[in-house]
Amino acid sequence: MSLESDADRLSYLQAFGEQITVNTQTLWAVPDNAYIDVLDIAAGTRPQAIVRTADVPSIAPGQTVVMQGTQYSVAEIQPDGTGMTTLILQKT
Amino acid sequence: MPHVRQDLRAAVVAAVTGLAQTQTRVHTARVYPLRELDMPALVVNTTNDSAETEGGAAELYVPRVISVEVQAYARGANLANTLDTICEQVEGALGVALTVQGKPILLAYQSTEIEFDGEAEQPIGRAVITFNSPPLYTASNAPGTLL
Repeated sequence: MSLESDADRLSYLQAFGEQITVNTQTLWAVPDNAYIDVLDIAAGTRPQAIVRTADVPSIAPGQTVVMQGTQYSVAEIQPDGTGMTTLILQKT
Repeated sequence: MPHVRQDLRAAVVAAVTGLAQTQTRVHTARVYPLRELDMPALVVNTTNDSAETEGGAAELYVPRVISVEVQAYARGANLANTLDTICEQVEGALGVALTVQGKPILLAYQSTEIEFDGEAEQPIGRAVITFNSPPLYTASNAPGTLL
């Protein structure tokens, strides 16, 4: 039995997140774009959005996400099994 | 007087500066991250300097074989093609004799290793192209002067 409901999750996202667009759908997400080093010496960021799994039932790699004014495509979909999904994004 | 490695590195940097893809984004001994705006870029290092002496015996004149590594970094779509284009330009630039202390030095191509990383917001790739110098003779007490 899950300790939280979809309504609880939505309230978390509304409290700590912001709205993003997935394809044409607007939904709540917690965005992140942290700095990372790759290949020892190349600087980059790792954009991702944490959303409710229920909000993205047909999400697929390659679909368009607009987050904080930047357009991305979905590179990876990582459901956590408890109702939230992390979308790993790639700049288009 | 600079070490012969420094002069060889400077000659390599001069030869690969201004290439179509990497232009003036050429670094030596770079340890700080290359940002998006810094790529595509080259990093030139002399990674090995081995004496080709019989049995490792001490000699007055040291025949040095110096390994030069040119690392190419690029990001974005068509990464494999971009890196191959950079490699083609680097190998072309270093496929003619360089001038080091007034002497012609022709580097010998050894290998290329390519890797990709998808962790960042765009794919990033690296090609490491390795060349070896011919034996470069210096006096054992004057490693800055080519004989």
